[in-house]
Amino acid sequence: MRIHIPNMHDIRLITIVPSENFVNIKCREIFFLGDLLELVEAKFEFGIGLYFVVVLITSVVVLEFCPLICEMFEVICIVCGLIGLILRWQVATFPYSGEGLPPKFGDYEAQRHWMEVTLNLPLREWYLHTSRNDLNYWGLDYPPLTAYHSYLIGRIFAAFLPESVALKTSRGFESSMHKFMMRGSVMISDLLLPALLVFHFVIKPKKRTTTWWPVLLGVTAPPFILIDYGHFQYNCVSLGLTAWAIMALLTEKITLGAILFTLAVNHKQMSLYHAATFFCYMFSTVIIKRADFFTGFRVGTTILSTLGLMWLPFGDRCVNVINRIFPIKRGVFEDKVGTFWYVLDRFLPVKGVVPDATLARTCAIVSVSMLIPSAIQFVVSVSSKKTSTESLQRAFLVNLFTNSIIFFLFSYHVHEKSILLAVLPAVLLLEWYPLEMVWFVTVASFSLFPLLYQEGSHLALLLVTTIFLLAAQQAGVFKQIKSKIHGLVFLCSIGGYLALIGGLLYVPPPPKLPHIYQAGIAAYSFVHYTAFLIYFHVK
Amino acid sequence: MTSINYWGVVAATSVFKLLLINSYRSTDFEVHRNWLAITHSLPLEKWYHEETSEWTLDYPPFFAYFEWILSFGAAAFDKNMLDVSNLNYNSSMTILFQKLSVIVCDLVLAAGVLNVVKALVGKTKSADIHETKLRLLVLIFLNGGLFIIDHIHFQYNGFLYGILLLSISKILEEKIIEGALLFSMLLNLKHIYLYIAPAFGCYLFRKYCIIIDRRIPQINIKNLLSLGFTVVAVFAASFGPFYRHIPQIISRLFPFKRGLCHAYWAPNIWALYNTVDLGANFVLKKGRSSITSGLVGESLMAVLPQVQPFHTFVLTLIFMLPSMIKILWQPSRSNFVNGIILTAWTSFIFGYHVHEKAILNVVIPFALVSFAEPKLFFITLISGTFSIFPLLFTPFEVIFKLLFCSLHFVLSYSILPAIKFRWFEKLYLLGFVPLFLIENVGPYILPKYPFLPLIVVSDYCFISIFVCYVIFYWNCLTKDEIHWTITSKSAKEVKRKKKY
Repeated sequence: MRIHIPNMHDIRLITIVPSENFVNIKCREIFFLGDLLELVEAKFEFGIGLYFVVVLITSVVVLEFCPLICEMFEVICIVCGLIGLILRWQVATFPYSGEGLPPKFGDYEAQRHWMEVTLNLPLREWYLHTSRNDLNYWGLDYPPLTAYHSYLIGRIFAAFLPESVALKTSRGFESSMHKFMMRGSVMISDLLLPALLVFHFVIKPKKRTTTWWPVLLGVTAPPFILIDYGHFQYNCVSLGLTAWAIMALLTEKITLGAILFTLAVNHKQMSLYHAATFFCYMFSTVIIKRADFFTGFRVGTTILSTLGLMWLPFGDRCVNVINRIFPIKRGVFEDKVGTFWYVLDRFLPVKGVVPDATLARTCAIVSVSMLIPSAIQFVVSVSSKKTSTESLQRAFLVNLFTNSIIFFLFSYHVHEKSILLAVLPAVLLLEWYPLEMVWFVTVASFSLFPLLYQEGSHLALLLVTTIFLLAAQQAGVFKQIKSKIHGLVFLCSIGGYLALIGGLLYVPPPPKLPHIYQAGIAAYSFVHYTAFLIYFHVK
Repeated sequence: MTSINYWGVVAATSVFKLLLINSYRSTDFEVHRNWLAITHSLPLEKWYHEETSEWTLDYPPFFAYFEWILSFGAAAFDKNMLDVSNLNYNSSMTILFQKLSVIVCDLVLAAGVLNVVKALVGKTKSADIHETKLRLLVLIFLNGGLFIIDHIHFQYNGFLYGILLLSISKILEEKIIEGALLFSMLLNLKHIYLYIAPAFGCYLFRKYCIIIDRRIPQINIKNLLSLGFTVVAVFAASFGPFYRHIPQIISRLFPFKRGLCHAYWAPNIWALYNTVDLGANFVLKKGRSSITSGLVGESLMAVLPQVQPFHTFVLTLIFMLPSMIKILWQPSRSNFVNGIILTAWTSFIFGYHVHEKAILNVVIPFALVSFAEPKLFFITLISGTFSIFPLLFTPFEVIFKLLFCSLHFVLSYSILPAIKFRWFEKLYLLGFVPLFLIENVGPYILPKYPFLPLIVVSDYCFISIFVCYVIFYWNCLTKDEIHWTITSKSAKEVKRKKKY
């Protein structure tokens, strides 16, 4: 089904009707690269090109990972995959963010709105504030791949439920069929689930006993499920791309890994939390360890050309896009988050006092300086020829993990959902550090409680976390608690969360501090994240 | 594998069930809410006369008592659900309470599985028992059809099958009186179990009340009396308080005005009969038939002769007889279990107004002998479960039924002994994939004939259910003693089985 793009109409007329102005107009149009593409768009349908790119990328990935994908037909993978799908779909029946809450709604409406915008407006207007695109109402603030992704899904919606993506009139569109399709759209773009299924078959410690439990724990890890299928976002795309990139890198497919990671960054800029590790790893294996400058050059050009392909259509409007993606104006943290700046703000107000730009700079400096010690150690261990593959893989994942925590704690404009970036390496490290990582994932899930409580899906959070913990118990993870003191610390940590959650649910807060429990959970999570950071640095 | 804990799996499954709290509920949810209200707020005499709601109480008295007990818990959650005139009331607390009650009652099923394994395996190595427990847990407790009926559609079947398994386990352990007590209680909870009563009756009578003394059968009067007394006592406890209303109860329990087939046709012989009638009518244009109205009620055939309840009874009885005689001839444990399966299956195929859910009466006891007949079991499981699918049709639940049942199929396949399918069997099983599409997409493509996809499903499922029935019947009658224990397994397959 062909979707009519309103703005295309006049341009097409211009190109078809020969007139004296024609040449002039054409010259001016060509002058702006973006507009040139728009001309192409008018002729060939932009969508076809996009489909082509998607099919190309998918087929390359599928071919490269063919042996890995065959692993998915193992009974373990099928069973765990089905369990993962069931859990995801069960959480999908719970309310989404901003369900039935006009006028602003929530992330669900944002995603729907992006479909509406990308489908109906020409590409150059996507990130621009125009009469047809009010950026104050959920304007696009993710990089181009998200926009393309919204466009593709929007086309499916336009075919089955056109009124849900109609320009302007569809604002706040909600229906049960629409919810079903939206939830389904997350499920069909979930690249993370298959990655989690095969990861532990591809990359594993040498002395392995059984394989089912890290797979099962991976697919039941609550934060991924709750944010994507409960709250409603498409983190599974960027996290999935990252996970496949990790697999590619650790199996020596460096170019492919670089492409996949670039795509991940282009889907959600938050993936930049992982960039330092990726860069250090690629740089030290290719340049320092092997001194293979040809591969280095090849990787560099592939990254640049992938980036170019993503950004080319925007032509000279890239600046707009970048301004939208890195919003300095939106403050150092959103709502109540367990970051350093939030906790600092409690004692020494910074938000709104210190100018945002200064704060952003400080954030950048602090986070980067925090990265340096582990980065140096990481580069040294990767560059050394003595390091075994297995410890290399572990070092990579641990570095990824600590870096994402550092960025979560110290960087600018952090959402509570950003903890997903740290949960990904945590889940992948399950086989090396079962107890620690189960603990971390549990903490991360509980830290999301206030967010889901707002939407009324907190029951889903508690239940999914219970399933995760039961699975961990079945896997014998808690048998690793050797001494009573460790057990006590673990119980106290979980008990603390349960106490805060119980308070939030059943004990009305003092009138002077209406958000005491939410703040408490944030601060408590901050303590935990810091503890994990220190623990893994010492280790 | 050994680290997997039985009750841990049960607990995790219960959490999965609770996560379905926001999904669709059929009218059965309102039925049970209404029964809670009736039993809580009305005096005993009025329970079977009350008809404010169209969903009148039509289960035997023990189930009414059960609802009455539950209603005290309900009062603690939300008192408004206990008002008889509060039709279609569904506050979040009501939903939570009702769904939780099903989940908690399901623990009886988990206990039943545990007891049956003890009765079946007896004294063997503990590792063997543990494995067998997990296997049966997968085959019975995680049954996809049971899961979607109880926890999405809403019924209390898991609890009832738990009592059935407990009663079977007691009888297998030769604790006859306890077993008889449990089974008579079960009959008074839901009368659908009358289908399998012949097998129980024959086995108990032959095993407990008859002694073969020098090739001459003699009746053990003492045992017969104690058995009879147990059964009568249970029925008296159940119907006693209602002694003045028994005709009214009977008319509620056995409504013969409801037609040969249920709203959606269970895949039995009458579905085929109806199809033939429809086809003949289509060709001959004889008159309007009312069988596809999709409503519960008496319907008229257009071409073929009408089938009366009496006809179906006679047919059912005739086809049950061989299995009953086999039990009387050789009262062995395996013949008893086979008899239960066969009587349930016969009444499913020939019975009057059979619900599609009744196939679980076959599939659940069949799990006990699944290791003797893995192929028959697997095919019956798939087609039986598939025939339940039309119960759920809302978009979210279509995905649920697909996911839950595929998970159960994969798990069952991986724990059953290796099955080699012949080409036509493979073809038949693959046919379920397009059938699923027809069933769920068909109504959108052919809105004029909403019943057509359902007919196709019924008839397609009927083929394998009938063929498996015939083969299984033949095997039961010809083989002296089917090797039916669950423990015969190759070590390799054991390793593949995991949690869940």
